[in-house]
Amino acid sequence: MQSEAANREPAVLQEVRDRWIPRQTELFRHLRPPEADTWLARPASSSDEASAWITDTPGDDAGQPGPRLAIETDREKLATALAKVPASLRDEYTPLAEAHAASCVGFANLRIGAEDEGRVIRIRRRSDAMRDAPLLLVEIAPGTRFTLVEDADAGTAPGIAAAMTRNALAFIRVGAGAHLRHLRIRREPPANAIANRTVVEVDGDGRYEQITIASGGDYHLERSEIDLLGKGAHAESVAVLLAAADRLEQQIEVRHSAPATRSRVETLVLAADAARVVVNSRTMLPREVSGAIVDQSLHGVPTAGQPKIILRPHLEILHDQVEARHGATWGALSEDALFYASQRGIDPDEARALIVDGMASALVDSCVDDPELLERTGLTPALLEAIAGHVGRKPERE
Amino acid sequence: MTKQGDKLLEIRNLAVQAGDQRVLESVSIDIDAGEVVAIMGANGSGKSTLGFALAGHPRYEVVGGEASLAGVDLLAMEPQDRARAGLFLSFQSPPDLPGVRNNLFMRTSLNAVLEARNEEPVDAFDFLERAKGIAGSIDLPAAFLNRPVNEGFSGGERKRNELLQLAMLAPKLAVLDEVDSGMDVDGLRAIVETINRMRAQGTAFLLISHSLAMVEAVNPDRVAELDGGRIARTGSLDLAREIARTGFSRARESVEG
Repeated sequence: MQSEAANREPAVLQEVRDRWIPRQTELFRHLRPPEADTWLARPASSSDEASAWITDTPGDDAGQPGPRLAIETDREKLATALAKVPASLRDEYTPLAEAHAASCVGFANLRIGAEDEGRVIRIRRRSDAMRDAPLLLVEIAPGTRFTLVEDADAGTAPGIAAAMTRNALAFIRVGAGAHLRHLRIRREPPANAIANRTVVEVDGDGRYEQITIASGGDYHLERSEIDLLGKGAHAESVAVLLAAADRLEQQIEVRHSAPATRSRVETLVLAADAARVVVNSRTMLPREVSGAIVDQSLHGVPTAGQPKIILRPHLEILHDQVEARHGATWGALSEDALFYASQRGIDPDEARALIVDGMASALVDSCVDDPELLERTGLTPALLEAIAGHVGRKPERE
Repeated sequence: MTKQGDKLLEIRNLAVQAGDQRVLESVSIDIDAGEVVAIMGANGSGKSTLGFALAGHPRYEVVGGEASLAGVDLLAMEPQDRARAGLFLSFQSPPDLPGVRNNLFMRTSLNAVLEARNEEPVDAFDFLERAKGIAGSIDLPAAFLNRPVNEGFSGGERKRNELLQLAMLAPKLAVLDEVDSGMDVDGLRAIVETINRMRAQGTAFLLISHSLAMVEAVNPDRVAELDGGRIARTGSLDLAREIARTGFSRARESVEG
């Protein structure tokens, strides 16, 4: 398998190199991904694929077998799976998508049915490949409520140096009336190059909630493309991005493809020192879509030093009957709030940790107000650790 | 612990600047433990500046004079150390802390102060019991303890929340900056009761207020009028009544005359 994959390298990979992202592109105007060779893998052997996916069901004591990932490494099935994934909403991303397709050697398939109602699965990826290109397919059956946790913080596999490259793709289909909570923990070692693309399609009256905690990486891109396909579909994305010496970008594109759909995107950037953080948020309402409700808010908070924070909220509205709100705010932590805490005897570092955690937790809770779920799935502990790493002090919660 | 009558706050010739503007020229006040001094003055006379400067707000630069609390140089301390040493400032406009739970904020604050006093910290359970008791005494529903600090609070609720922290922290000196504004009659009663109870235990108060009714209800030991960046006059309750009757400009004219 490995030699077969290696044989296709010269032709396929050279094509990707030749079509790589040009210097002048609007999408990557402020933060350009590393060159093609960073992402192009000599594919790992297919036997590695099965052991690279780690799953558990945190806090699930139902006593029944949890939902299982089916791992496929058959080349034809892989080609079929890749073909199912819609083309990127932005042509400029295509080279990274092609690099993924050229490097991917298998995929994990998760089908959630009515028997999994209300359950939780946590998925970790721990590949021993220096260049990893995982593919995850998720299908939530109509009417089913489910929680998917993706945790990139699985540690480094034995024998792997600290720096690695991951170009990941997840394609999620939320069935009619289904409800998926998608919790994503993306804390990366500082030398990694990461491009995570998540493509989501939501059918009528389906609901998709995405929470992202992202930090680290020498280059770190979190891209989501959410398509509200059916009438009444609803998507929410909230993200807390923490960066100190990182180059971190979030791209989130939402397309309202049906009437009476609703979306909300809200991102909080906490950046310090030499960090460079970009948030590109674009929501599209085509001419034929009426009665949509859109909310898009981006917030940038420099916490120390002179980081560069670029916030780009963008709405494309081609229909008159739309309720839309968008905006971006940029400003340091409130001097009055910090002084207020100090005046109550609280150490300045602790005050910063409290205030930053307050902002982050308020944002997370506004999407999924279920503290017990957030705790047991590891999202809250990950957020607290990320804040501790950022402000130098772990905030207390209770 | 300071006892009634001990010398507590000594301010000598305090001069304070906010940006390029000199707000306080030379302010001198002494307050003993358990004393209440009411500060009155026209808008912009520097009453709030005095509170912020004593508390160490970075926007207010002390450019002259001295201030000590229980014999310790207040101006040499960081704001959090001034608070731990026993100085409490009730804010005229307490800021929101979005997402920061009131009970967590107050317990963190209380434990910082207790640690400075070499006392044992309180755990979440004990804190909640104590906080609920005080909240009940000032008509602040216990549910406010679980809400983010001041977020969505009305003016009166913010002031009650300040009172709750005041009673919880039991400072040596409390500067109350228009704590009565936005309060209903029950709130005003709660302020007076809290001051009287804490005053009997040795806490001193610098009460900044425009309300004669408030000042009369508290019955301060002294009333001081701040004007032109200085303490223009000091006196008894009669001074407060005269100011209420004649206004600050008349009072100023009579001083200048």
